[in-house]
Amino acid sequence: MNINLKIWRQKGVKEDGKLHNYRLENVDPNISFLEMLDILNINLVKEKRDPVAFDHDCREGICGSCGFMINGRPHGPQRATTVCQLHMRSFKNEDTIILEPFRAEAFPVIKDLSVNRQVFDKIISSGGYISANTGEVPEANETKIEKKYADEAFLSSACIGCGACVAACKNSSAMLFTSAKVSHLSLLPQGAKDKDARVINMVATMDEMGFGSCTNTGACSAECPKEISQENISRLNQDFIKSSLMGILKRNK
Amino acid sequence: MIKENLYSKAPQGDLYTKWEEYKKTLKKLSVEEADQYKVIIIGTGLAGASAAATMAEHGFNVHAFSFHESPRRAHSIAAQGGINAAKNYKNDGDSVMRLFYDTIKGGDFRSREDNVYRLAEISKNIIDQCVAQGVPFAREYGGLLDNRSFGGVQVSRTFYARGQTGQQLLLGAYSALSRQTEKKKVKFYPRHDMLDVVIKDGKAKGIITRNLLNGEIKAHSADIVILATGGYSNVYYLSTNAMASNVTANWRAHRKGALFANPSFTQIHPTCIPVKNDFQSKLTLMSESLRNDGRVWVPKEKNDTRKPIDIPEEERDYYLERIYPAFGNLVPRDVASRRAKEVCDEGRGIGPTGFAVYLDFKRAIKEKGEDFIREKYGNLFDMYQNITDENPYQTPMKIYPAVHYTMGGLWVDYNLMTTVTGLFSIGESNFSDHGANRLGASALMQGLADGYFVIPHTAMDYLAKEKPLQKDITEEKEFVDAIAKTEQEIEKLMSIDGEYAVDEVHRELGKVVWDNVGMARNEVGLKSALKEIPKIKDKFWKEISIPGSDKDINQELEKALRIKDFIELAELMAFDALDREESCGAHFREEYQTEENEAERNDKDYKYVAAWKYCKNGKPELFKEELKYDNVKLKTRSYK
Amino acid sequence: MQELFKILTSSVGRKILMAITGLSLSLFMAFHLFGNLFLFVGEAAFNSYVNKLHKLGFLIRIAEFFLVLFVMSHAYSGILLWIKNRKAKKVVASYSKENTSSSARTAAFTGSIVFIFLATHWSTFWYKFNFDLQGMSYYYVVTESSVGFGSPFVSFFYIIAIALLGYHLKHGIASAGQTLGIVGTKYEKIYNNVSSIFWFWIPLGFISIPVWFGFIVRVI
Repeated sequence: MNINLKIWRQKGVKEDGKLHNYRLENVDPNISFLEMLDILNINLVKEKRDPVAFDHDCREGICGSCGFMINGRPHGPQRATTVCQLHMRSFKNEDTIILEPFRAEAFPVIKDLSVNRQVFDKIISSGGYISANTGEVPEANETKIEKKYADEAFLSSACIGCGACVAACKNSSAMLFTSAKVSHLSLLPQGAKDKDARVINMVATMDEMGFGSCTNTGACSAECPKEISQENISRLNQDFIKSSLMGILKRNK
Repeated sequence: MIKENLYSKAPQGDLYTKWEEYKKTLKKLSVEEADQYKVIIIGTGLAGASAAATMAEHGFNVHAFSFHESPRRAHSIAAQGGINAAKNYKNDGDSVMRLFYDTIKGGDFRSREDNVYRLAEISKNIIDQCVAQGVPFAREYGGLLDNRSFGGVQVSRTFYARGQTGQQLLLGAYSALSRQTEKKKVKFYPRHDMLDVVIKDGKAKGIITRNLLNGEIKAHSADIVILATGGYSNVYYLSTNAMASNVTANWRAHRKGALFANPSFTQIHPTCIPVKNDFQSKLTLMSESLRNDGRVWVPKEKNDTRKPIDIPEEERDYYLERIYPAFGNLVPRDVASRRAKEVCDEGRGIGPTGFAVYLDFKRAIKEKGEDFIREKYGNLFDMYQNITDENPYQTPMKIYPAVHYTMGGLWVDYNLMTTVTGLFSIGESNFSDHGANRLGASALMQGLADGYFVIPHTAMDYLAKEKPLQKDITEEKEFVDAIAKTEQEIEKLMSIDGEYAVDEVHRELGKVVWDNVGMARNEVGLKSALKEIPKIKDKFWKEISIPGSDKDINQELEKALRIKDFIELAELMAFDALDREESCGAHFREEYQTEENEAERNDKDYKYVAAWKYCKNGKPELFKEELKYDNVKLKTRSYK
Repeated sequence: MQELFKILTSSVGRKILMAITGLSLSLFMAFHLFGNLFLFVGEAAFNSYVNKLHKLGFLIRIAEFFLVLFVMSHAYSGILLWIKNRKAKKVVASYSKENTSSSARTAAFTGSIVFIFLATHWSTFWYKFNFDLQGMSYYYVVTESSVGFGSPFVSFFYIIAIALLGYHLKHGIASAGQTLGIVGTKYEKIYNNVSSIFWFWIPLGFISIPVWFGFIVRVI
């Protein structure tokens, strides 16, 4: 198959970018989308032109490195699939495919399709953990956890931190990402320890980092490669209300 | 008789109490004292992140470096199956002793008893730690932790979180690390490649890094350097490792004097999705569990191009069931892999390339029903269909072995210190615990054991005996020289103005290593590899092309720096494989096999760890650590 | 107090404020419609209903004060969020809208139209009812006068505005459920069932009045 690519080229954070046209002929429909870009890049290198920069690593859909907009959708047209697991057979001969980086004020473009998502680390370090020093913990089976809650917590913690939710959201909100971590930890009895501070601090950090706010459009969940549910956002809100009230009550006592 | 000239420094005494007793003799520092020291950790996967978090909890100032943008991207995240621990929750007779023995035997008696016992002992603490951090392990309806059996072991000791155990454990370690980042005890340097270790007065005192965002070459000094940089499967070009996994940090340490142990011990996983064409960038693993219900076969006739469905039963060769009537399709990884290669080399392989065998679920679907299979393997079948566009419920899967893990790595003593004083190595990057073959669900266990429970004690003891630097010493000559050398190297790479993309050279290298230092090795092949690799090296230094600038993001330059080291490593692997004139575990020398084509060990001459010293011009120098088995009996593995 | 301020000005806090004010206003709408339906009973019934309300005196003024306060804070939070969200987003040339409903995407726009409608609603009906009756009956003001459904233009604008309000609430009420943490709990189903009353049936009730008095009555 032959394909036409329009790829966003941008040299650095401070520079302007624009879409460039490329054409690839005789592409095997069975190769993956990133392998198609590998071929393009080898061609560019051979022509002594700058190859397209994009983030990727495990190519198994779990590390969360890859991700850009394909025809306006994060990770492209296939549901619950990261770019690295997308194959060229999802496209038709002579299709024009537009590739752009994830766009959000909080995710500056580093180069071409590669963006900086370090703000996610900041959100996590402001509360996305359970305080448990190494070695100072109880026996694992001492706390029973109902399977239902363990399973729910697992589903929330399956987030790969790729940033598709932010890119899909018309407000560039990081609520799905933040709420998935808040939910994962607050669903488990171990997480009760830091619960109140966690949700308040993580929301505050998220706000500081320049993300927009959630208007519950649901685009995040729909585009999430790991199908993280909207219920996480509801759970975060619930925790937020409870923790705020508790905080105020406690301090006014 | 083996002439030993390398010693593990393991304390004397009873194996079962050794570690606990030894820990009592190690020096401790208070949080205030520890605050005087700076610790550099390279790599923030399972081993690196857990070590960074724990060292920071003890009060050390940790500087953690990764080429990833976040610790959560490390390739530990891709481990699927699970993590072993001798908890004996199932009451099926498991014990520390049993886990210890399984691991030693699985490694075909080429690992160090003391380390393996310690690992088995610590395995229990790991689970406690992870649960406390909120790792959502699978649970039974009653609320207790669930276990499954794994990798041909007879007890259920594997803890798991669906098919994403590595992800959940890494996120646990990452959260512990993040907590320390918030407390300012850990400073994380994202997108930094380590390009050199700096040694001052005989001790590792710092590193040289390249910032991948702007190309800045910078020196960092510290009281200790810990490498947690993973394995080197990508020397084969195609492997199940992540694209950027590399040997560079380890190799640079090796060049500075750290011995490299058993480099040719590489694990080939039998059930991967086969290579489909020349553009293939990466291989995908399908869980080992598929062999519980899938039957492996190839056509009896060579070059049979019929569709699998058109080949009648009597014309199929279920070769694993034929050769190993007792274990059948469930033989260990190394055996299953080697047999697949054998039938393909005979010309009976299937698929467009001829390098694949069928994994057939027809009988299981017929006997147990499609729903049962869907319930059990649905995810895997979907993944297979997504990648190959074939429906495994209707047509058999095609599989082929692929490189998956490297048992070899930097040689370390019982304290996990390399032969360079003050330079430590943990996790997959060291050689220590898996011998010549790793058992399933053991890699996660080792990474976390080293990071959470071993290195914090042994490194603290080392530091307690060192005077803290308490200042930046990167102005000193050793650092300035190292920076200059690194800059020269990059300049030289950038000035090559050839025709090839580095990936093309890497692919060539991979083919030579795979063909000659892969699943089966022989003298002729290894010698030819030793002839081919220098040619590739030559081509690399003369004919590659790196567009753009080194003062900018330059993914081609990053690759070139890594491949340069892979080429040198490949040579060492061939040396090592050639030197070891026996077959053991994953190292199968065709000259040394039994009449039934099984691995034939030579314990008299090769019961040692081969640790190689880098020599600038010429052959690497071999050091030997003899392996002593006081608590287990050496046996020949049999699966018939 | 400072703490409360900090919580309420966080992105989630603002949303909670919007949800509470929005839901309160929806409840008010139900009450408002109850009164409006007297128009169908007849002139006397409607007039006496309005008179009764007037007799409540300052209570009505307090209610109106809160009403305005809620509308204003709902709008104010909405505007602040809108500005923040505009700043957070960068334009993607190829942005696909496939995965969101248009009611969610256009909530800020429909909200603005509804606000304009409210402003005219107050300056006409409310002002007339309270200060500028000029001897007309309440019933007449609504059904016949030029500020009421006597004008086809007013009827038309009213129908469009209420339809947009329904559309606004379609997203708004669902969104409030999410913001207040009801989604995912055992109350979610009840909440969703009740919500259609507010975004569909009540607006339909409002629309039925101009349709009947503004158009149907005039034709037959």
